[in-house]
Amino acid sequence: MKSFVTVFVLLMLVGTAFGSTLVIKGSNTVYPVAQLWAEAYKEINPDAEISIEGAGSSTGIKALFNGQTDIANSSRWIKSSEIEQMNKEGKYFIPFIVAYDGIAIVVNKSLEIENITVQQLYDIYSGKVTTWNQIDSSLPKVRIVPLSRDNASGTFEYFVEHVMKGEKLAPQVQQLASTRAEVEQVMQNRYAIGYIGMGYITEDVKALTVENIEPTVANVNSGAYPISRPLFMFVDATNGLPTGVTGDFLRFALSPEGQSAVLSVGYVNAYGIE
Amino acid sequence: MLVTGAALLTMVILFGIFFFLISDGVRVFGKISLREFFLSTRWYPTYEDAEFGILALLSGTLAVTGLTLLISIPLGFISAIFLAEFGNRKTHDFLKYVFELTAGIPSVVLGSFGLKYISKWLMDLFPMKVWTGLNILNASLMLSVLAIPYFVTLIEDALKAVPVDQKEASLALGANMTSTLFRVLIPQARSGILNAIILGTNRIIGETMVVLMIAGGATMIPQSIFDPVRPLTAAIAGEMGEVELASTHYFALFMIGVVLLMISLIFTVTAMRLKRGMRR
Amino acid sequence: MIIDRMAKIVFGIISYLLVTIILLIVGFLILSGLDDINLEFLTSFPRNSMTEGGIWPSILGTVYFLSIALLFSVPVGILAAVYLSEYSKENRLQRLVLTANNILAGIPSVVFGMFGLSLFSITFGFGTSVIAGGLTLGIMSLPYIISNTHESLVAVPKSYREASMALGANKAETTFKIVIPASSSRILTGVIIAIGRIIGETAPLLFTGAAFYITRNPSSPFEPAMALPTHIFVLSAIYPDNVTPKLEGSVSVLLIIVVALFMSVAIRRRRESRKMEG
Repeated sequence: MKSFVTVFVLLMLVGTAFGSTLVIKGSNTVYPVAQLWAEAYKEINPDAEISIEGAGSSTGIKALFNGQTDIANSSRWIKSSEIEQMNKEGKYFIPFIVAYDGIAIVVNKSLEIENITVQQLYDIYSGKVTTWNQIDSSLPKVRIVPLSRDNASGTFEYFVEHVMKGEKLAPQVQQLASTRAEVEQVMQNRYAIGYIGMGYITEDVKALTVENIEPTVANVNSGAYPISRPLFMFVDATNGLPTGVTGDFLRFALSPEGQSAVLSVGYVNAYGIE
Repeated sequence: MLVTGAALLTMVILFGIFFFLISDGVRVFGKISLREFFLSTRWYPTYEDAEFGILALLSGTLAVTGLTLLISIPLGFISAIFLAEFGNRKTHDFLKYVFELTAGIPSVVLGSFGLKYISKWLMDLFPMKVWTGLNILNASLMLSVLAIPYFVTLIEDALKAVPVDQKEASLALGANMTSTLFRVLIPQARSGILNAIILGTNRIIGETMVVLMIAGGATMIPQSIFDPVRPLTAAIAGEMGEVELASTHYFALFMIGVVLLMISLIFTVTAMRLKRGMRR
Repeated sequence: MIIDRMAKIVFGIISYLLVTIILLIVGFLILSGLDDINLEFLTSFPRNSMTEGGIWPSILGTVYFLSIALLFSVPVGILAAVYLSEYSKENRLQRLVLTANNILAGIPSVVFGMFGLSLFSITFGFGTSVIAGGLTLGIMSLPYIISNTHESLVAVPKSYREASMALGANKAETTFKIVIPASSSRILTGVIIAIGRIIGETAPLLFTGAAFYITRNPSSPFEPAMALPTHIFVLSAIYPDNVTPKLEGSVSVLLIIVVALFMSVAIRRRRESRKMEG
């Protein structure tokens, strides 16, 4: 028993605190690029300590209100209710666009379809269209298996707002806990269709063109690809622009070096790369 | 004294859980009617015109629980009988060890196993019926892995609790082991077995990670075991991280928690009553 | 008798079949991750979007969460069990405590997570921290520790207590110097089982204590930590396929720990029963 306590205390002492921790919370979509930045930033600034949590865009913004985070990752724009709260509390948050994320529509490689329109996506996910031959008569009359993220996800919110125009998803749409699960299901299921962030496209699935535009970095950058969204980092600027570690980190994220890292995670850079 | 304090702390904690959950949960009825919450199948908590009906979620819980029980009770029963009456010492210890170990397998591990392997396996095996690999059957199979050891242990205990002279009397009268089993032991262990079933069901209903990852996530009332569903626990686990504090959605999730709490309360108290009846 | 033989064979086959399937699954999961486990994996931080490096912060985080959980539930649990077996009569209060304990044992893990979030993270203001997650796990493990310790204490023969009192010791001395040490082995086994159960709990930690990534380990219990089960969940949920090796390795490590824990329980039990027979 005694040795256990000693070990415990020693373990606790192993971590020591130099300087303060930069806290980042929020969107799971932004998380992978935030983590890569944290790693790279720490290599340049070994004294920096960073902690990142996921859970979702709303959690991040909520934490910004509570003063529990320095940076809120968000894959969606701030909601009107959040703006109201900002006004009520006399706070002022500012967004930084840190990357762009194209939403790719993926299907199984054996499904013989190459393109889809936004209208067709709407029809499928609202339940108006239920079999593949209704999309393209050359396809078999088999049930479409629409996959989605669950409603905690910013990707979901974006899809609902921009593709579904606020219309509710049909009950049989499966809300999966993760993009990875979506990808794996599409790989396994010949008649599944799913929407994922571009960064998650693998060679095991087929990414469709949307309105005949391919989901590429160039097309997202030029705005040609119809379903893409900015990824944000919000900070509390009530007392002025972010300074210290927060400001430095953001500067790094938006620098050419940081933006190149965005590409390696599969997102699209918002600013110039090196 | 310190000792009494510790014991009372248990009750304080229990009371605290009920208090926190109920006080936040009932606030949902400020915005939503009781009728809508319990009877509507439409669960759209994040939309501008949000809807909060848990009927589809509840049906998901019932479907997954039902199928799991169907699979795991018979199998658990058989293994329990084998352990209690037929095995020799070494067999008994080995099997018991494996079952105990199984109960400790983290559910997130089973979830990722079901996601990657069972899903594919189901789609390959029944291509006609299985239109999606994440469904009730997948979740029930993985849940059974967690539930069977539970039943095995409890039912074996129930069988062992039957006074030995009952068994010996039957055997002395010339009956063989099998009919002794079915005519004497099992009926005598009736309430212990019922107790096992109730506690096991309670455990299954409360499972979270497995159903979050592999039950399918479709907020619909299922029509077959190959349909995807979204049990109550999965909805909470999936949405809790993102929800805004003190929003209607937040209260709705807490109310679901209250529902789960009440269900487990009813099951536990019923089991306790049964056990007391058994002693008499 | 033939029917007995048949029954034995059929039941035996089914039982062994079940056990084999389970062992195959566990074995498969452990083996498929084995080649990713090396010293670096166990002692370094994740790198390069979790495709390289290791799971050290998750392992340490799990230890922290467990430590706080046990620091709470073991003393409280033992004291409560002592109350039930030594200091109370078969009255209403005792029944109430037992009932409360049983009810607590049946509550789903998500509900504990919500309670932990509501009480520790929000009301007490601990936020996402080791202490919030640890206390939540502690409350979850309390019922089992109480019931197991209670059983162990009750199993100590009455004669021990009587002899001690006859020699002049008071109740407290008897309890803490005689009865508890006599049942300590069984109590410890119960603690090990409790560890085995909560080490894999994901849902409660997701809401209250676990961070997805940290650059250094927490220096105080008021900061978040990573944990093995939540790490596994994050790996299977957030990252695309190229992290599969790390996922399999993490699953492997967690399963190996669980297997080891339960093996130690089995060994202890064997030793106990041999002691009693001898």
